[in-house]
Amino acid sequence: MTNLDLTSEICVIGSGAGGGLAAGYLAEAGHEVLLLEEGVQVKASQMTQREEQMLPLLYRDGGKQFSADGGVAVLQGRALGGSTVVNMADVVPVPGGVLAHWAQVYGVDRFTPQQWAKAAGIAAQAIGANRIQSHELNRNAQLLLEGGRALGIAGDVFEHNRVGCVGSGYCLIGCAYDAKKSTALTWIPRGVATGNLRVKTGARVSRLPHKNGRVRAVEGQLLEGHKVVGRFRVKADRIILAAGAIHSPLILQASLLGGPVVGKNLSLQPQAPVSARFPETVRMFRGIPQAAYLHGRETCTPEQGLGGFRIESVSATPGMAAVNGVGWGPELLEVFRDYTHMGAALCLVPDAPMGQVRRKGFRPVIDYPFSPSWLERLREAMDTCARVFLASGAEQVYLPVVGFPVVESTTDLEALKNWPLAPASLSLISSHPQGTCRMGVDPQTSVVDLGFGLHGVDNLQILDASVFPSTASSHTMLPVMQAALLGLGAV
Amino acid sequence: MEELDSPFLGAQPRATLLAAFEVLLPDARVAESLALEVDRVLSGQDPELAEQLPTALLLLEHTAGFVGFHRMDIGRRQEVLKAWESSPLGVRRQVFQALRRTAVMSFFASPESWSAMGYDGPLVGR
Repeated sequence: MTNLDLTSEICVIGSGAGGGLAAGYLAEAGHEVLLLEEGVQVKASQMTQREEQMLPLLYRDGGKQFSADGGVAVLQGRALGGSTVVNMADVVPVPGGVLAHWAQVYGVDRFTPQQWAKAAGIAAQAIGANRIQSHELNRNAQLLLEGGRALGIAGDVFEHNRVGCVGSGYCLIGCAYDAKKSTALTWIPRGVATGNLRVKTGARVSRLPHKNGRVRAVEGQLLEGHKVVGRFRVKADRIILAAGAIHSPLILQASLLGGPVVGKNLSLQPQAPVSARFPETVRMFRGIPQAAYLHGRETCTPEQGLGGFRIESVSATPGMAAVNGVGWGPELLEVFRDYTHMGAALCLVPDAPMGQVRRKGFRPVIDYPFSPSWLERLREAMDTCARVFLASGAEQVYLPVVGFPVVESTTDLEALKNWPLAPASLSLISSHPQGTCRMGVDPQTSVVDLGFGLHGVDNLQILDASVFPSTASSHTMLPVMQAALLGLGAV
Repeated sequence: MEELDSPFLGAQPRATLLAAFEVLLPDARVAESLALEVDRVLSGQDPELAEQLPTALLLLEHTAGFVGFHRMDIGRRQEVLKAWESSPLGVRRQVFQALRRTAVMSFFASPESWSAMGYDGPLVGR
């Protein structure tokens, strides 16, 4: 067993949207930074476009992290660059209505909307954000927009952080062309180039020893794959925790830090995948997998924050497409014989903070009950999505609900109104966990203060999606980067 | 069934996995090879995570009926899994979904399944 003792002025835990940015930014500002990442660095040349090889390399639990009752698959990256390596590359800032909601309901008002906007601009430029062009839409995205137009539901195309995209379609299992500008290709190399940033992969943080309101060290295990091969201890003046909304609270809980609500107020913003079979060839597995969306049923108000639902085009490789449905046996093969004619979309239904994360050894237990009001919006979202597909010419629509008949007309959707929806009887995915180290002014109801510092500790900031008081946006990469830049004083 | 040098699953859970795969896979003819591959992959996973599959298999084997699941004929196994899929007991639905996901991922991630569905596979290395 190796025992590693390291020192650095600043130690950053986690290399995703928040940690990767923080490490690069602080190194460029002249600070000595050590960046710790639990996963490994996976280069473009190692991206094989094979699911069974890439999922274990790039995802936490190989993509098999679930809420405790099996209700929601919680997808998170576990590699240098974190989830920015495996996300859909959508660049969506925190909307003004959410900022107003946070100020009005949670007292989170230190930064003005103008400052948030400026942070969005800095981050977007750094990751090469640009608007997807109409000629880049694959047929799956076009069909979603056509269906939306037919039903009068407003839609648009995304801004994304792909530059030089070849349209291979493998974004979810890592870009083999370095087109997706993750933090591993942007902020982190910028920091390394200064000579001020060191990166240590295979380093899993377990606890933060502290005394008299200061974190004294960062301790954890050295990993080779999943095997523990040693231990490390980092002495640093300043700590930035950015392990994500599932693991940042775990590290705090293991350290007896964070106060009474650490791990609580989890939002998962679950998404339901709906697929459809068209008479025409779609080949959804090629092109940009998520390029268009319908936002006409989304709401955003100072009173409620983000609400309603949106529908986003999506495609996946065969294994992930099968896993995210509910089919099995020879009947599933019959469906997949028409794979080139299939289209798909995600119903993204924002939720109120209603879950929590607990520790069991080094692993999280994610408790996430469905609220009745959220389930009703989910029903409405799936119903609308099916109608959109039918309007764009689909012959059959498949809802991710166990036992629900194939939908061939709008009358088939009547049954959805009263169909039982329970955990593990429908397929749901979360790519945007948030809220478990909530920001606020009161240490009894929040974990970090309005400057992103842990209440009662003077050298630890949290810069990841865990700080959001409620769901920040339909996509969290840019919001996390906005928050990180504000927390670092960059704006 | 072929032997692995260091299988993760013991003989009993492997038999249960194979029996479940014969029902859950789109093509039962590849059940044995894919069950073997799943066993091989488990050896490289986080041990705490990998232990979840044998636990699920144990539950299925011993609570699905008077005889062990893997001893049931295929028609009875189909009935059991269908019942677990929509069981009022959440834990049974969870076990079913864990096995279903494992089966369909292993099947559709295999190049052997691709030509029948018109998927031309990875672009790298062409």
